[in-house]
Amino acid sequence: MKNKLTSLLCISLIPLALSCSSQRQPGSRLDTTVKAATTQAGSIYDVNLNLENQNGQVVAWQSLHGKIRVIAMVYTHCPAACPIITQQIKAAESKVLASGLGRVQYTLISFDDVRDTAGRLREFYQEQDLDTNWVLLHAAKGDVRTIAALLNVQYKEWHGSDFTHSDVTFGQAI
Amino acid sequence: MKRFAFFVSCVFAFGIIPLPTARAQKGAQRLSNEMIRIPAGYYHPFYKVIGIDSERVEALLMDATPVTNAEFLEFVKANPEWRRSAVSSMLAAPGYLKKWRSDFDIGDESLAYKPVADVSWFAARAYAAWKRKRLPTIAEWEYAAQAPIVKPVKANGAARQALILKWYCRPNTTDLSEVGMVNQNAYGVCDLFGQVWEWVEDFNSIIIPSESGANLGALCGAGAAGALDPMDYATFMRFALRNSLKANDVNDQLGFRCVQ
Repeated sequence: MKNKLTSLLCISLIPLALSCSSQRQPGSRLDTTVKAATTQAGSIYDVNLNLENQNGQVVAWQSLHGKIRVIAMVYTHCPAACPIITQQIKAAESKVLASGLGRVQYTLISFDDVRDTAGRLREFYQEQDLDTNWVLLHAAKGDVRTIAALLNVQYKEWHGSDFTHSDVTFGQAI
Repeated sequence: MKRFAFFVSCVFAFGIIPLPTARAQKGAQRLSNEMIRIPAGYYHPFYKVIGIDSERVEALLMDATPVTNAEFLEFVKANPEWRRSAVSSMLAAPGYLKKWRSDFDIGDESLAYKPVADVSWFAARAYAAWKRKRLPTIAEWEYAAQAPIVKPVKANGAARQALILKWYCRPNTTDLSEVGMVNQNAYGVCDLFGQVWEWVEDFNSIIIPSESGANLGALCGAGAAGALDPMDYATFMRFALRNSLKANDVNDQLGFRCVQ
């Protein structure tokens, strides 16, 4: 049923430059191994916390509920993966638009609670040439950890300037 | 006489004779509501990154023992949204507090002063916030846990590692002990090993080369390649466990303690 929480589509977009022999083959662009996971009763929006968007408006986490949404966690000073993740999602967006599947929301949430202010997110929004289907969000440190936990994203901050992070993008069909 | 006293304390420590919980607590090395001061210092990350050999850990207060069922019950009573029948499965998977008789009743009284288990990271964090505390980071937990063991025997270096592995080898079916009874380290922190595994704030920060592969990447050969001490199997086990967890997971061998 469309308004019951919950098929989490986990689309792995780009394997990061982390190397291990057991890893997926690199270069597998939008080859989407789509995993569907069902939860019994519960939504990733069952948590109270606030974020701020690129326009400086407060956005309640729970208010993101109810739309088909693609979410990725990035940080704008990321030298490698994050702009690529963003562009890959953009490429997916154009396919979604072309196929007439309806409106999908695209959401980037920052790991960087210090440098990714609303102003910096606004710049990134412009640099990446994003449209109004996109919202860029940042939150307090502890809340970023909560969101990552909800999305099962792993990340580590290194001396406040860089983040190692996993590279999953989530689509949630609500 | 001394020998007899040791025998008696073992009997109590391992719960062979059921005791009223207050009396059992009196025999504990540390009480569950105590906090221990850990001085500032440097933690050498288990997984090295080029250019970073150590992470500074600021002085902190750490719970002397894991959080008990009795303490967690107080939290659930004060925050009924965390009772078993009400909690979202996204925040605590089925099995949350499964040993309790019901929402607000631990049931088996002998559990009261044993470590609470079957709690998710979200629940542990909510408890900590309610206590105006927080969960330790991996660096803080591991730093505090590096101290020599002083009870029940003194052990440092290789002897300490062997002792920890002995505790880790205990079958899962063994009942937990009351908190503060199993061991104590030089700071005075008890039961970091040998009772329950413990949630940490940044459990989801372990990026191991095979991140996109199996969850047990920390145990595979590639996991060892970057490790500080490839012989430190006990630490591998902790990192592998953390790496395998999702934030709503619950397990009857997984609890937590707080810091401030």
